[in-house]
Amino acid sequence: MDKTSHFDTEALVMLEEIMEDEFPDLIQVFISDSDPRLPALQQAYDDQDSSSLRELAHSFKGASGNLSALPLADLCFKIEEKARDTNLDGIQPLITAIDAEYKVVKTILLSLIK
Amino acid sequence: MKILIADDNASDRFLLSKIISKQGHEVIEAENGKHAIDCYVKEAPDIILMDVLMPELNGKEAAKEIKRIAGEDLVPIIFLTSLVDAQSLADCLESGGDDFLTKPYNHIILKAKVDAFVRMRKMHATLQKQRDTISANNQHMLHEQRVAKAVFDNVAHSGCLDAANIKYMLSPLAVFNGDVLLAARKPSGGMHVFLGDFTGHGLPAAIGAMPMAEIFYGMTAKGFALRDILREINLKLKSILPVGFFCCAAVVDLSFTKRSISMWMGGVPDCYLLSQHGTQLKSLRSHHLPLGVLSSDQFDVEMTEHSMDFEDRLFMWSDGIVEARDSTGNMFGEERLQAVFKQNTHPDLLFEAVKTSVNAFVGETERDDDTTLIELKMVDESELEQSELVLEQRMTTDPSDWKIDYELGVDSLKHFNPLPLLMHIVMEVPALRAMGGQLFTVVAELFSNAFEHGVLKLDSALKSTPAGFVDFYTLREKRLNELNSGFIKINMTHSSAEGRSGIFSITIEDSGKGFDYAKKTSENKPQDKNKFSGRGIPLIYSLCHSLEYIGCGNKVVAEIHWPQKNVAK
Amino acid sequence: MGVQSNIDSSGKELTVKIDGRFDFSAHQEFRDAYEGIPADVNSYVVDLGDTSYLDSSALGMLLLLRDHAGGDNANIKIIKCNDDVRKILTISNFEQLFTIQ
Repeated sequence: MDKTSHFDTEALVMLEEIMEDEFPDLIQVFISDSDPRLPALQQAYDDQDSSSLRELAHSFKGASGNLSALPLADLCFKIEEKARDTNLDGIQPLITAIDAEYKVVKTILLSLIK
Repeated sequence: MKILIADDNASDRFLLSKIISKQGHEVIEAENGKHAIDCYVKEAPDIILMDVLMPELNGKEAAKEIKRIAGEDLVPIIFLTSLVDAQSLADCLESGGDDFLTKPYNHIILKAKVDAFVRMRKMHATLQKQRDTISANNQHMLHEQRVAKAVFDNVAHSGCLDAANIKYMLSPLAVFNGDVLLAARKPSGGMHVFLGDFTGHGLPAAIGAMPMAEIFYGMTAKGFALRDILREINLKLKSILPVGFFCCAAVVDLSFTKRSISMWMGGVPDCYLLSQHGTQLKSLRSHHLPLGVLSSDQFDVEMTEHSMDFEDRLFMWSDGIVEARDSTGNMFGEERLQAVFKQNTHPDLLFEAVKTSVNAFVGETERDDDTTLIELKMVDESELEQSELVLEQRMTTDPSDWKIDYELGVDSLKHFNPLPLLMHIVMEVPALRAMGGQLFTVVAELFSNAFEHGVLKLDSALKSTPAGFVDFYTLREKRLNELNSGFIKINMTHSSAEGRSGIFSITIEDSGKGFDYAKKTSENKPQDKNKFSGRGIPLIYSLCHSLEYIGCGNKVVAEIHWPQKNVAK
Repeated sequence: MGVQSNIDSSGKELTVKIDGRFDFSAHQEFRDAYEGIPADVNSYVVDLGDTSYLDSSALGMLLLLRDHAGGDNANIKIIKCNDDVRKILTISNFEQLFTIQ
């Protein structure tokens, strides 16, 4: 797995410097925070609840952005935009893509703290 | 500093918290808007990092509420947002945010911003402290002024500014602009009125007024003449005021019985005297330097006399009237003042007319505390309330009922002049002090008659020609040297009715043969003014309530009543 | 408002000129003009030619100058007064203390 296609590696390095010995904790928090997001997104879509979709996507975007997982953040942004316009077409494929991307990001992050 | 991080995202909170605590600050965390408000109330953080989009209550609403609760206190709020368009950012600041930080967070920028707000908070705290100190000092100063004013009022309360013949306008805090109005009834009748304008403002201007008012009221109550009071005041002010500080003043001795005023004016604007039922207006000007400038020996107490008929009025003011300014800075000026007088038809309404005119001119702008104005009307003293003054002002015990017998033998008659001693005794009575001049004339004349005509047996007819005068005094010298027998007995008594009136009586008996006073009385007519001689009896008659010769004419009793009324003889 | 001063060629007369309003704001400058000058100076001229206005604190400053210049022995001339300034000096009878031209 290529880190650079899933992360802004420079930013990631800086993050590690800032967090120092709490870097692993940050990753754990991110993961435990983000794991429930996927099911929540799916549920919101199934309920056709565009405002919840928007909030969840926004939140996930922010979190991934902070971990410099930019491609993941970008996917979330796309859902956020559509949900803001209450356009629920094309969101399911995005959710699927997010699911896949997140799994990769998670693996990479966990490998960093082993 | 204590910093609150409000973000619904756990990893965001964690990251920010780490950055902030590395800077040395204490961190509190909140998960949503409502939680943020509660944290603010409970923990009172110094700075808040607020995420915009949060569940429960969003960041903007929470910010509004926190700012409202904070009131005057400064609590900077930095919005955390992933929105980047200008409008959204502007909206953040509109809702009470002081700055924003975009995601993903740049820790360098975040640190810089937090530092900037820490500095701002410190500066704001300093400012608030200084403002509070200034406010407290100001309150303190106002309080001190109120106390000073109360002290001054105690000194001035015995005055008679509320007398029926006085109208005045004086702002409550005028004394702090140096303006002073004093008025006091005299124990022997009449009143003294004082309008003063000290240089300077505030406490320094007011502080000179206190000793001055004490002197004015104290000495007036003790019956001193206005000249003496002015001398004392000038001396006092010269000694206590620094060079360059003085008091401009207009001072009036108003006599109801003589229907006249004596005035002393130093450095004040012209006063106006309105007479003849308001048809004649005379302007009186200052001829003296203000009080407190000249030393005692240079100080000039010369006063000018003006007659004032019943209902005539004297108007006096401080320069605040002429110099009152409107909103564009123009002065009221002398011309406008004169116009008010010229246009007025009813003297009784003039005072109000001046007041209204000045107030209308000045308008809504800051009222000056030195527009001081006073009107004195000549009335019958009976129209005024009985003055309680004499009873209250007893600071020392003055003799009011006494008698003294004093006999001079040959040796004393040859070498001793008893007049100063006798006058000293007389002057111990406050009410008689004011008549000092008159009393001296009476006592001196009667004593001189007793001595020259009674004891030395000189004939007053000798003085009928200028040459005769010289002869008279040569003979007087000779007989005085040769004198070997004779006496003069002097008796003086004084009684007073509750300090409101009194009777002074002097009896002089000499060892001479007397004279035919019945004949002399009928001979002396008031128009015989060009006679050089005579015992000066017509003069004394006009000064005394009664004058009687007893026995063979070598004993005379003169009675003087106070308060004086016009004696028609 | 400005205060200018100069001593004449004989070194004995100091002229002080006040432009504009002569009031409390001129206090320090006025004093500086006559304090600390050479002891030779024995006569003073106060030039009010460009003075628009005089208030009671200015009168006080003149008294201070007089006191500094020897009190009753002071030799002070006040010159070039306009009507308003003249009036103020007249009301206070200052011609009894100063020579006013």
